[in-house]
Amino acid sequence: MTVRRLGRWATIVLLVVGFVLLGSGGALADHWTVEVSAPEEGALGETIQLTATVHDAATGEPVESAELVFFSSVAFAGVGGDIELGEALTNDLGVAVFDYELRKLGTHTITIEGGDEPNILSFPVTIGGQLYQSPEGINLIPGAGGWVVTLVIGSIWVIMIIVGVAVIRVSRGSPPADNEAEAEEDQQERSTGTKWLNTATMVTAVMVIVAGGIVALLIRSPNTHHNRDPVGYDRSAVAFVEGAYAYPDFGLADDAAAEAEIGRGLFVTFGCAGCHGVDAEGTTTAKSPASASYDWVRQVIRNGQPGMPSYSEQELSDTQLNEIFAFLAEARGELGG
Amino acid sequence: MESVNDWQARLEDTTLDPARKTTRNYYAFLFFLLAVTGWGVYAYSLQVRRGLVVTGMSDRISWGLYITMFVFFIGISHAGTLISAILRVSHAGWRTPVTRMAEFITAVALITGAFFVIVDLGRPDRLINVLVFGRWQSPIVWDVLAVTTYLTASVVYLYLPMVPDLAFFRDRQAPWVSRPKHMLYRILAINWRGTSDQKRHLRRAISIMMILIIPIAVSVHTVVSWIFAMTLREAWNSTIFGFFFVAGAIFSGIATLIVVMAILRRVYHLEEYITPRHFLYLGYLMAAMGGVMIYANLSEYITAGFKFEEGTEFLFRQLFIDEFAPYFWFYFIGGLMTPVVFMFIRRLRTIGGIVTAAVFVDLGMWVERYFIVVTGLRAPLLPYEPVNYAPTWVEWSITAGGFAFFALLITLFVKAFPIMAVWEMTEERREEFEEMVEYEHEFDGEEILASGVPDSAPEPETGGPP
Repeated sequence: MTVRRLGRWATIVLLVVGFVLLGSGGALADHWTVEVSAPEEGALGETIQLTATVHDAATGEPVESAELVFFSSVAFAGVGGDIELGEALTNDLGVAVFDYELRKLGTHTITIEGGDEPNILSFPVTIGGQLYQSPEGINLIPGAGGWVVTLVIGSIWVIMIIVGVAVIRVSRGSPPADNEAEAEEDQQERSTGTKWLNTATMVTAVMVIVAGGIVALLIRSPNTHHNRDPVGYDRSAVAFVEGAYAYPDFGLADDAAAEAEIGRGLFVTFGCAGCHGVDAEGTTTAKSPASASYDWVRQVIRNGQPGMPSYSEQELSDTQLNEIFAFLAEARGELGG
Repeated sequence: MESVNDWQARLEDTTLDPARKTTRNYYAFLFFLLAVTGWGVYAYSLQVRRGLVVTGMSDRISWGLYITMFVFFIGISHAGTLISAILRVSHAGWRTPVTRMAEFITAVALITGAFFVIVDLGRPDRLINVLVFGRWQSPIVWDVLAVTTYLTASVVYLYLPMVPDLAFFRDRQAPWVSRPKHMLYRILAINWRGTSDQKRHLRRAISIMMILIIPIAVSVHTVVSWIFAMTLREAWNSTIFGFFFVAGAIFSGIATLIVVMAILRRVYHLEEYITPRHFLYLGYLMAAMGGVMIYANLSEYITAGFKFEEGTEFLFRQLFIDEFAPYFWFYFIGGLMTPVVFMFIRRLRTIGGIVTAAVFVDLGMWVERYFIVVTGLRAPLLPYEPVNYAPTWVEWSITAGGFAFFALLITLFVKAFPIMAVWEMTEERREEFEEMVEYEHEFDGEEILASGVPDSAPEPETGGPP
């Protein structure tokens, strides 16, 4: 009973899958012409649209639901190849759109597969506007912005300056004294400053200057950072990943580099730098091996230590060990120890 | 019955005493404070030369003792605001003798606290960038704005009620003090003669400031707490943080005021003016704020602990059981419970008991600032092993130097300025006196004093009967 029901279900599922496959399989079997297009050039950080239009080679009709695969040609660590970026399906007009974020400078080469022949797009990517766009944040509240802060702090300082003026009035508010002794004393008081140039005035003046500075800071605050203000924007690209990375095992450096330079590369490729730091300066995980003796370095590398793996002669040859030590000796000089 | 004039003369003498007589003990104490401050300055010079590597701070725990000191001293600065402004607004007459000390603690604590922000910078020369590149969207700039405004306001608020007392120093000290010192009083007293006009302007200035300074003070400590709460850290991710810091600030401010009051009272024999009543009232205020703090702690930890989101467990473990448990429980039991318990027990409700509780509160609040800063940074954001933070001798030296600097400024202040609000105290005394006895024209004292009460009566805004 149960077996029979299972069988029935399996038949239905198989039939459905078969029909679906037939429907699309028919299209796959046809010949397509694919036209691809991309912007002439792009800016770093931008998202551009790669479009591909698919037509039936025989009828010239647009093909719906055709699947196109987008690949990017890259070279990493001396090895080149295609990396799949993603897929896109055509709409009823036969157009497939693929969003592509430009994360790298230089020429981008995109291969689009799906037609009879792979189509290739190539365009340069240069530094454009700002890389980071901040979300709305607190500005979502209607009317909120720097002017509220400016207004609040500005009014506090205005009130304080009013107080300062009151103090000036205190200092000047003395009417002519009644008797002679006081008048004389009064004269003496006034000799400490002129009518306007006295302590109270100067205190108030300082307050006005500080208040002016604070308000100025607030008002010009949106314009202090160039990335808020693309005019004259010239920050070096932060997403730049290509360029000389002078480690021999990455296949980019000169073979005839000095022993220590080879050692520097080995220090990275064997994972030493992961704990001991790229310059063998030591990290919170492991201390600097730069000042250790040759025998000690050799012994620790060959036999390992708690927390550090050992490397046999098959994994790391004696020559390589010597190169690493040459690098450590150089690092010792640079670290000054 | 003693006349107001006699009473005033005695008060003036008591206030003048610290400025007139300098004992050998004073110099010894001054020397001690200078030495400790100097040691702190030496340690700081070492830090400037070698960089922050001489401290125990690292990339993972990048705030330590310095930020603790910053938050603690900004908190203490609330002493002046609360005692002076809030009690002045509410016409609590008993506060008058202690206002001057409270206001001075405010100004000095702010200066000390602000210094520690600079000490925490690895490149203090880049401080100017806050002004050049500052943007109002940055919590650091909020701090700069709030602290600058508060420092200016509290110095003005310290100065305004002191003007008549400075004039009194100017007039009374003339025979003894050196010319430069006399000059200082003459300049600072801005020609004060106590005329009705001057009094009117001064009163107006004081009443504006006393109201203005309350929102400024609240904003300052709120913004200090936002330095923490605006980051995505488990320990600091709290809406109650602003309130929590303001309450803690007032709490530790009162405690510091009690301690400073007790010391000055003992050293300068102010027993007549600073009475057990002041300690008792401030003790009650402190206990009330202690209750508020206990409530805030419960609210904070129970809401977090009930949900127990990821990350809370680590935080609670280090705070209640593991590394920071001694600090936390000292803070909770010693710092928060002690003042409440002490004020409930009659036998402990003495000056000694209240001062002891105040010392516990100050220690507890300092420890609280420490563990808030360090536990927040210690809880890892990524699955790392947590790192630990231990201050180095440089940090301890600069911290000691900071405390010594705070004490040094107070010590120098009592030497140069009136430590009690003679003018306000006399006016209040006179009002009390005149309520008791109908006595207005009987004494023929100086005009300044006699004119005090009648002048203030016919002010237009009081709106007398037509």
